[in-house]
Amino acid sequence: MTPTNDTEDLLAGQPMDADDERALALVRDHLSAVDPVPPGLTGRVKFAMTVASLEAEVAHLINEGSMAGTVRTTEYDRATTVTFESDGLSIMVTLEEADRGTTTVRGWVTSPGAEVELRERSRSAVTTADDEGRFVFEGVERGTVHLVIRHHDEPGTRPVITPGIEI
Amino acid sequence: MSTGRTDRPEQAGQTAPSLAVAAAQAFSRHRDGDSSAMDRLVDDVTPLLWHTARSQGADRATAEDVVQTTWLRLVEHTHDIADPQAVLQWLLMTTKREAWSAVRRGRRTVPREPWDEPPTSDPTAPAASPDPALASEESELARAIWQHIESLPARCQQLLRLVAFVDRPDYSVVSASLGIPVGSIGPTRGRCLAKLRLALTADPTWEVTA
Repeated sequence: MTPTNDTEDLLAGQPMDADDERALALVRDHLSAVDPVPPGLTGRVKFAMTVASLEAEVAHLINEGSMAGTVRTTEYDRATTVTFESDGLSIMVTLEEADRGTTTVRGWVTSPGAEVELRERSRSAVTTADDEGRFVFEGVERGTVHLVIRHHDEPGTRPVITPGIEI
Repeated sequence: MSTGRTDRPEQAGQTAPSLAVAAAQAFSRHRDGDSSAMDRLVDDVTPLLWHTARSQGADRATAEDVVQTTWLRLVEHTHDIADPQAVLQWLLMTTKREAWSAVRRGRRTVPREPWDEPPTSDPTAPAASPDPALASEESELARAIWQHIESLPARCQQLLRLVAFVDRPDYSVVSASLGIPVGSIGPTRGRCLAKLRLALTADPTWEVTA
């Protein structure tokens, strides 16, 4: 046994102390700075999990005035009107500023009577589209929301989910 | 022990919140139909999964895929996990396995296996170049500590890298997930932390500030 090994054995058998905690806290700070979790990863994970758990079809953003059929959702940050499309379903959404920094989300879907769910960060609201496919959500707070459309009149069809809409 | 220390993570003892317990509670709520519970679970656990994938040799792009795949596997297996208390360990082990096979697929032409690599050739080690914005005394010290960790055996590197992201109640879950015997770290220092402590004791950077 070398003295170094003896010392290591001794140290290994002692309880952890504040200096050990401090060293580990510094390691955490260092790794968080040089090897951070990519920005947006948790958002992408949550969306992918929602789609998977609902077995939902993802609607694509229709971007007028662009050659591309779809754009990244961040490119229409706080746009006022956006349109999404999936197989056999179109969804148009208009955002209106309302009281106290909240937003009114008015929408229209090509499936009258469909169940429309608005998913916010930590809550969700459900309404039913009227005979003309219109729906409205009031008092929506800032953040990313998704709409989930379920059309019960056609059994067996998958729900449709929109990409994130920045409110 | 003092309960007044819980608000100071760097000195936290057994009263520190357990990520495993928080994860179990969130997972139970999710299974009971609380649609926001899973979001909190993702926020809380993703950093640990990220560093698990990275410590297995995944580059940043691969690690991102691995972390996403792991969470999607949880959706697939939501009803197969009998005990919610085991969900954190399940996530860590899945991440480790996914990362390991992704790294192996990516290195098919390299005849060696990951465990044969000397620590110095780790392509996933965080960038060593100093960030001028972080050039404070604390970050100098943090970088010095990291350099000592990089010279430790690979298993110690993995263990210390992950326990840095949890509090003591979760050390055993992290050890078990890495296949390292429980009790290898905490409540006693254990072999890896002792090696680090020995290196730090000989380092003037640490001695001055300790």
